[in-house]
Amino acid sequence: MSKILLVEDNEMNRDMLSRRLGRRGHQVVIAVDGGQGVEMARSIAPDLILMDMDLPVLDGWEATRQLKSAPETKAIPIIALTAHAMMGDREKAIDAGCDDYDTKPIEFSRLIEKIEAALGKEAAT
Amino acid sequence: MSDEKKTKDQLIDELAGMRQRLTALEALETERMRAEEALHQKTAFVQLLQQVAVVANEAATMEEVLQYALDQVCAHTGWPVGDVYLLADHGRDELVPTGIWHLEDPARFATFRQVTDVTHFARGVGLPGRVFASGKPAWIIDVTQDSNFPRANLAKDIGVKAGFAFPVLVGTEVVAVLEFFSAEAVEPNEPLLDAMAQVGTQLGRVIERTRAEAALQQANEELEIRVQQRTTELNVANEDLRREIAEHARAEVALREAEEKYRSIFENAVEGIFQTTPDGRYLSVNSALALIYGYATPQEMIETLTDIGPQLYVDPTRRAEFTRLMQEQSAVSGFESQVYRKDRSVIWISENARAVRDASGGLLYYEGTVEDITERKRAEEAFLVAHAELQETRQYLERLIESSTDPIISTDKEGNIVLFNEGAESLLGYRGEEIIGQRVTALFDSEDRAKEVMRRMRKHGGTLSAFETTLETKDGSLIPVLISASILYDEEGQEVGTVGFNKDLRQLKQAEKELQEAKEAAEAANQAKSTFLANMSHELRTPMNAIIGYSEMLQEEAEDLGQEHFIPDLQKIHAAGKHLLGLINDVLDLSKIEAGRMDLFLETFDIPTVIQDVVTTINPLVEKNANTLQVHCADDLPAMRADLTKVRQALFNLLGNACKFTEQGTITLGVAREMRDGEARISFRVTDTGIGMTPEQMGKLFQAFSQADASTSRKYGGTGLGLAISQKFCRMMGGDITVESAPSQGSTFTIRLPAEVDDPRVAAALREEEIPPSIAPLPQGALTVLVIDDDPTVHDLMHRFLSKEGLRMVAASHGEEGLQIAKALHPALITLDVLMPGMDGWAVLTALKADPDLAEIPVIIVTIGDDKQMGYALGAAEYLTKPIDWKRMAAILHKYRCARPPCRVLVVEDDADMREVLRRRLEKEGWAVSEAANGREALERVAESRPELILLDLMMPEMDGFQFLEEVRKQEEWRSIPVVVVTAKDLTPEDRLLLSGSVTQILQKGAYSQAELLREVRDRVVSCVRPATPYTEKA
Repeated sequence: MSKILLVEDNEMNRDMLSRRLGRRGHQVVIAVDGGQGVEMARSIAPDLILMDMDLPVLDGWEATRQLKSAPETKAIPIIALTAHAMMGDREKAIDAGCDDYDTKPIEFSRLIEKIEAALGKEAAT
Repeated sequence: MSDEKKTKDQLIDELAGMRQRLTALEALETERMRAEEALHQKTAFVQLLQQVAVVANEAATMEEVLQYALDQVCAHTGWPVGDVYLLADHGRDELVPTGIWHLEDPARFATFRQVTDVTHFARGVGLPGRVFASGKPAWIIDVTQDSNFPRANLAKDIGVKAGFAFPVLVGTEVVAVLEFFSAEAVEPNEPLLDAMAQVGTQLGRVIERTRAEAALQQANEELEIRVQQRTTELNVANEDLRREIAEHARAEVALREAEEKYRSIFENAVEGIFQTTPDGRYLSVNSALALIYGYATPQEMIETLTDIGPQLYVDPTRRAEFTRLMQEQSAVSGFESQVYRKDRSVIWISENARAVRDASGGLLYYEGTVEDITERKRAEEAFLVAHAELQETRQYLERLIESSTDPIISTDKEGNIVLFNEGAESLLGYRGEEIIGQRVTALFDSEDRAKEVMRRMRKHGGTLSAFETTLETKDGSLIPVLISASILYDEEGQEVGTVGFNKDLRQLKQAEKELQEAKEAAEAANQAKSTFLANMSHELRTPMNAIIGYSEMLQEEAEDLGQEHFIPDLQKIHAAGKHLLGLINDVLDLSKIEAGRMDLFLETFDIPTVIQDVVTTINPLVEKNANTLQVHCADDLPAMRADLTKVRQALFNLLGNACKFTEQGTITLGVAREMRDGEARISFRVTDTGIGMTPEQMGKLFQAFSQADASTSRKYGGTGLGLAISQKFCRMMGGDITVESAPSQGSTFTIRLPAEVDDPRVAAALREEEIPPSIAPLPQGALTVLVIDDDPTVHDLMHRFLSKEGLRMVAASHGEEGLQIAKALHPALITLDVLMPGMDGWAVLTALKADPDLAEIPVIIVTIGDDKQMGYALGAAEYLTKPIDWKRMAAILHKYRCARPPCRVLVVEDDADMREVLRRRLEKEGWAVSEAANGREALERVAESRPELILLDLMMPEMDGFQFLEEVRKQEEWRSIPVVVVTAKDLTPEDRLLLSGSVTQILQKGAYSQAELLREVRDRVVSCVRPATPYTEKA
């Protein structure tokens, strides 16, 4: 059972994702802003982080950068969740260090594939 | 006799007396002897004199005479020495030696002579001197004893004793002195001296005579000179006189002729000529005058008009006036009066006359001319009437102008204000009086503006309409005005000034300003709306996501919990949510596009992969209506560079529609590569066997918010925005969506996009340089036109023009550069100036057509005149060079083939053989051929039957080719006929000159105005870039 840190400021999105992921057998931990996300990533060392990019306190890009540059967290795969499906955003995500990204609105099956791919990779390493 | 007794006394007395008588007799005898002596001497002297006289008369020179005199005197007197002194000439008052000597013994007296010869004697000095001074002879008994004898010592030595001298007198003037010397002292001899004096006198006479002769000679000579002068003068005077006489004669002749002429004039003159007496009768009248007054003959007139005053003049006081003027001034001129003719009709006459007076000034008669000025008078009256009318009209117009509230200002040709109406006064604050006469430039806010108005007026043939500019009022404020101005000309076409009508634009400007502000406000509001909408995107989608997400989740949970009966309801919620989300997305997309905030994000991708992905995603929808999807991807698809998201969206849109409107049918997706105008394009073709569309429906297809039919949206779902958005996306990328359909026969939608979509940011950067701010940025994928012209202003002109038409422009300044750019860029069209220096347009043309790579590019020959007002575009669609490449010809024929064969082609070619060859070839291709050997014939053929194509040889000897094209151009029905022009492959300089000359000639004739030219070019451009069905070469 893998531990997924979900960093998402929107309550409904949080609710939906955590419940759906939970039913799939993942343990979902919540952080409601970028800063909390970074802290919790450090403290609980999840297997995967789902990072919404539009976050208060610290936005997703910055949080990702911080996590990816810290030795204890940089191995954790981060999937960016971005509401804007724009060219720039994808690049930005990759530049910031995200391992993958998905667009909102979330298409659940697509996201699951990406999660499993990322987790699979991690498991392999 | 007591005689005896004469007394002694008596005898003594007698004796005494006899002695007395004897003494007396003795005395007498002595006397007689003396007298005889004297007489002898005298005689001798007389002889001397005579001889001297004779010699004097006969002698040639004065010197001769003097010498002779000297000699004679010396001989006569026996004195041995004699010499002569002359009065010095040159006004010196002294005697000078002459060197004329008489010396008995030259040796003895040699010294004496030497000294004397160099001695001058002043008045009173020495022997000669005293004679000089006294003018009388002088005698020195002994010169050695004389105190006044400078040569005394010498004389003593030589033995000269006595001396005498006598003067030669001319009048009282001593002109010479002769002196003589003896070796003995001699007592003065008075007679001698007297005689000498006479000699002197004689000599004096000689001298006098000589002088006189000399004077006479001189006088003679002078006289001769004067005589000659006089003679000459006389001759001249004679000549003058002769001439005068001749002139007189001529004058007389002339006078006679004049008289004759006068007579002739008098008789034959058109003007009446008269002579009248002061008391009112006619002395003479010529025929003309009689005619003017209506009399049969002058005679009749003279007899009838016996009192001019009352009989002739309508106003009898005229005659009195006439005579008064004659009295005062002796002449009248232009004396106009009304007079009665014989038949009592009244005419106007004008008289010029003068008074002829006698020598004492008394009046003899009047003479003068009469002119019938009745017509003139009438004309004058008519003129006055017309003038009065004109004045009235003029005043009316002036009032009109004055009272116009629109400012009207006119100037003279120097630009000084001559008219300044009330309207102008109230607009500009000047009173008419103070501004009239000032230069009109004072009214403008700058001299340059005034000059610009003038310049534009001249440029547009003397008128300027609706030109915005700024005027300055008296107190310095600026007023925007609209000027309509004209140059005023007189009848000879000379400029006399200008007139300008002004319209105060302040209100208009204010309104404009307000409008602009309103527009900006509206735009800002619009912008705000768009921004709002864009921002709303996030806000709108979030709750939608919740609805969709939760309904999905609940479906899953329901399944897990075995509560399947919830699922249908949940599905409905889900579906509705998705639909709503779709709507929101579409609306947001559209609003973003319209707000100009939709950007292109280009990436390179592999088409088959994307297609695969799309197909997979769309599959559920395909299956929904039991349709089948077939995909055909061409093999040669290149990598595509475009906005992938938008491409996918469009594809989804088309495929989704196909699925929606087809049941149990086939949906085909075909992706292929196309070449269009040298550019690689990708076409995505979605065909379905669905319900199809009517033309009406197709018309509304791409409009937002109108699904083909309101009912379909309810039945088939969809937002009605999809196609509009897809089309916009495609157009943003430089492509488009087209549709073909028929009801019940399915539809085919085709997306065409450039394989490489231009990066808008790069293009924008490029554009920043070439486009001046006033021109809107070009849409994506604009076609490129290459303009080859040496004039950079033409580049600018064409650029503005072409970008208005949605075309991009690249410019080349000369032929070589043009060819290079053509090769590199493969433009859609080339415009070519044939009148360039260096590699001229014709050479470029033939080079273009000779290069197979470039031959396909349509070329328009455009020449724009220097003032950019005139231009010429050779309206040929294609160019062929001789010898003709038949494959190219075939391609052209195919391109221009008509809808229903046989297609008609007109061959215009002067060479009969060539015509024959062309005919055969064309007929072989299935064309119906008509022929013409020159431009004129060609026009006839075209008029007879309009061909679909014209083949024109430009190298015909006369300018026919160009003229023919011109004529064709002029006719509306003919201007669209494609013309294929044939020129030689290698143009000789003469050929080029001929061609360029033809173009220049047409240009000079003023082929097109700028507007016409651009219309022509646009027509050509449109026809050249129209889509053509692809041509496949026949084997």
